[in-house]
Amino acid sequence: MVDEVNARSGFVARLPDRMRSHVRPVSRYVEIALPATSVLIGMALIAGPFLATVIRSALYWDASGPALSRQNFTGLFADPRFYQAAGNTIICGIGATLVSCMLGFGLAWVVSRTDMPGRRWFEVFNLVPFFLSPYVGAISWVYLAAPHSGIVSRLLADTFGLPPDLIPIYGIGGATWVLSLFYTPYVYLFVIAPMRQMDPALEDAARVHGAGFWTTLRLITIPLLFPALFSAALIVFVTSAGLFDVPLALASPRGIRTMPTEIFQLVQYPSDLGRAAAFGVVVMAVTILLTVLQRRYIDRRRFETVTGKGYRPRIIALRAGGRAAALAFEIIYVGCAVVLPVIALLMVSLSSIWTGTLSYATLTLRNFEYVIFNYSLTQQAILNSLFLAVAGATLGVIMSVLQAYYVNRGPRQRRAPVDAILSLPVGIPGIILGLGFLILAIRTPLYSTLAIILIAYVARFFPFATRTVSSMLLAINPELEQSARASGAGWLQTMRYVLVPLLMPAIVAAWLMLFVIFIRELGATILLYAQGTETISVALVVLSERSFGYVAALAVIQLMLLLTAFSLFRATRVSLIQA
Amino acid sequence: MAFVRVERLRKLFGELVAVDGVSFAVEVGHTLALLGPSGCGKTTILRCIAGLETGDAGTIEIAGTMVFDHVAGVNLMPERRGLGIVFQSYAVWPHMTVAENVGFPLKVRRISKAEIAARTGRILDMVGLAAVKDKPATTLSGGQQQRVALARALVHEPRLVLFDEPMSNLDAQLRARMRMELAVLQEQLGFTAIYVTHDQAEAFSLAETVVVMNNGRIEAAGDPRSVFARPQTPFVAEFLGLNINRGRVVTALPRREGFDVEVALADGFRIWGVQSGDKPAVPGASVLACTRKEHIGVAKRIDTAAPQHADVVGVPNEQHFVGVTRAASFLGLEEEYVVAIDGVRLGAIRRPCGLRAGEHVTVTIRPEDVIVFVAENAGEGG
Repeated sequence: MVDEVNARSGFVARLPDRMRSHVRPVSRYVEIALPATSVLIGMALIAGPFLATVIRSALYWDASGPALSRQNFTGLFADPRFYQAAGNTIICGIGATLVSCMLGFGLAWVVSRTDMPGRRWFEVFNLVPFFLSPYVGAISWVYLAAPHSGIVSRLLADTFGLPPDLIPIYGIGGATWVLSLFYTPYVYLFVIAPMRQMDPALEDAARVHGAGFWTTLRLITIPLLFPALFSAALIVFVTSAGLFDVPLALASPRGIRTMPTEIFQLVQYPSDLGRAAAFGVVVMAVTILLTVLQRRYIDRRRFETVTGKGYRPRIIALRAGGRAAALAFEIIYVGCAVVLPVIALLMVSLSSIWTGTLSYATLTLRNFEYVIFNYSLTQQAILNSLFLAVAGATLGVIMSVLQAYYVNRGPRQRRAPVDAILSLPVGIPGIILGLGFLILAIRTPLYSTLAIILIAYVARFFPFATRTVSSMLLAINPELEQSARASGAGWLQTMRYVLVPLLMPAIVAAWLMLFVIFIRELGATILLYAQGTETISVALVVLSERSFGYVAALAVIQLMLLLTAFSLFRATRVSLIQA
Repeated sequence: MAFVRVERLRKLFGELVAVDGVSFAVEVGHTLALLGPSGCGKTTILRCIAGLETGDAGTIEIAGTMVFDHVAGVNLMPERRGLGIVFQSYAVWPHMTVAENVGFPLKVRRISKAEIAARTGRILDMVGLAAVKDKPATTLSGGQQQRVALARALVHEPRLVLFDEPMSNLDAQLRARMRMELAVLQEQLGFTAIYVTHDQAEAFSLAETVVVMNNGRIEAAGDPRSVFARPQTPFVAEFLGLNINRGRVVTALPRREGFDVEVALADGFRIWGVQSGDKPAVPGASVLACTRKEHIGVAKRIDTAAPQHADVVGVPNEQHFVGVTRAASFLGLEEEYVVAIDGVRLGAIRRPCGLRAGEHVTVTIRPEDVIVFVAENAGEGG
């Protein structure tokens, strides 16, 4: 096949002179320069913090100044706290991966393959945790299950006489539980598409040839879905292990070390950036290794019949017991991941003092009043978060459209490597990227500004937007643009009148997704904020030492923003799996 | 003795009646073909027999065992019915090799590895796939995948094998070859088969009994020759590709079986045909006259003043009409024409004789080749 760019210039060259003048020469440069610039900015955003962390990890300050040294690494590897943190993080990650794989697979199956009542509603509800803040989820679970003061703990103690500290919400178990609830939608999204597209005859054939329901599940269904399940598991492991929010809320209070909280500690006074950077390098190496592994695995094992034509999935008619079990499963998941935490948040936010139960005597709107009207920290935090989310999402989406254009329409031999490089930061934990930007900015005027937070946000999350836009661009026939060019439109006009309108659903979806991510971001912000540049999530952390009520009220405001974005996202009808 | 017996089977999908009280039986070692257009309910019947769908009324009995009885609440799971099945999409498992695919029915029956290997090897020899047994199944061509599916359906020696349009994804030549191979395999292994298809040639060539389905009901059933020779309903006639023309009865005379009926076709001319059954059409009744394209003689007209048929008293042996060819298409061994007689159009298939569109022809039709149906319950689609 001929490269479109060559074909186009060949076509232009063959036009009579009179017509050739219509193709403005400026267009030529813009067409190449804009997407390429965007790609270069993306690469710089990835390389900057990465190189900063690597270089910083190799520098050690002694009396005479900085010198190249292995000291940071040897110090790290000699420290038992490193092994505790790494061990706890791996346990948390594996636990969350296993639980969310089981939950996600089960929910996807129940929703897509059975006649469970209300499955259309649950299809929506199952995705809600994807849009919520894990930090708020974790503190809501503290409200629910904390010893003595948790709503559920109190209920169990008062009703059944169980010990009031029955639920071990603080610690590795609690953190694993909340992480599992939040990462279940990832697995759900990964497996539900192939589950729907699978030829139902593959399972029917097994049944008729003598395999029972469970044997068919074990020998046919799960192996066929294994590529999707396995790559979901790798992604969940990498992202849940790197998440700062949940261990901060549930492990730190009991002094349990994890990788993200340990890096946070290393940056606090008296800080040891060198050792933090060394820790960061180790984490980045593992993350990149796992991400590359996942990509190669997916490329190698893609069963044609699973991703082939659109089959109508066979809906299994459950018996009464099965329906009840399926419904109970769904209700327990949605209850634990969404409904109970939201109820807990509302109850706490409406109480003047929190005692574990809601009573009329303490019912009040004062928390909201204080957070919205009287407290400059929270006011500033809300404004900062809105600014960062709107500006970050807009910048990210502009970059992503240009990058997606480069990856799909740019020089053919560069597309694949550029695509691979641009999607590298997907798995890098926010706190590691925050550390990189902290090291980069620490002695520059950018330090402690909103700008550095904005840059870190865009750097960490633009690949999500690029992937969303790119998967839609992939489906657009280049002849649509070529027709516009042949009709006399310049490149910018073609983008404006043809490509961008066609991509609009993906652009809106990507914008909303970035907005959601930025409104709740904590891992990168926690290392980069300063007085005056707090975000909502940072304010929640700061306030958590002062008042339950203020935290809950602010969390409710954040929840409103996230749910609004979620309902708008539903309206775009872009599948989340493309992200 | 009937090996499979389906009685008054009914299946609803919401409001839609997919199968509406269907009964039939299949003899041991025989093949029954369910023939009909898409959406007629034939695949649903097959899936009910397999246990992949649950009927809403009726019974299904296989080898003397009641596998489904709505009233008694009997419904055996698919895996307990001991069947083999071949799907249109092959449904070959992509995560297994050819041998693993074929050995699956034995594996789930907990047969020893050595025996699985031996029996899988034997059946793969029979379908000609021994050389590729360790390849991933989906790297094979469509025809080879279909053989894998066939071997898998036969390896555990089921006494009943179900075929759901198994060849409609294959090209015409391969289809003809597979048809012969399937007949040979059935001869060797002696299984009973139910075969769903929309291809009449496939149904007629493979089956001892053909059941023609329409809208969830049986339109016609019988051995292929009788179903083919005298279509029992206008639907069957149309499905088999006959000409169907609307008209009114002029006279009806009793004959040895049924009646000779003279029909005035919608645009004028009269034609004699045969109506079966024991109640004659009354004069003036609306009827459909059906003619097989191969039974219509077309010859270039030599004399300009051809005799019309009106001067013959009673039923003639042959009827001659004057017509014009409207279209001619060369099919190889045959040639298909559309001829117009007055306002009536008929399709005709003859050995090639080089007629072109627009030529004056003499059309010859024997009365016993014209099948007359009373139109009232026959649908308006003629």
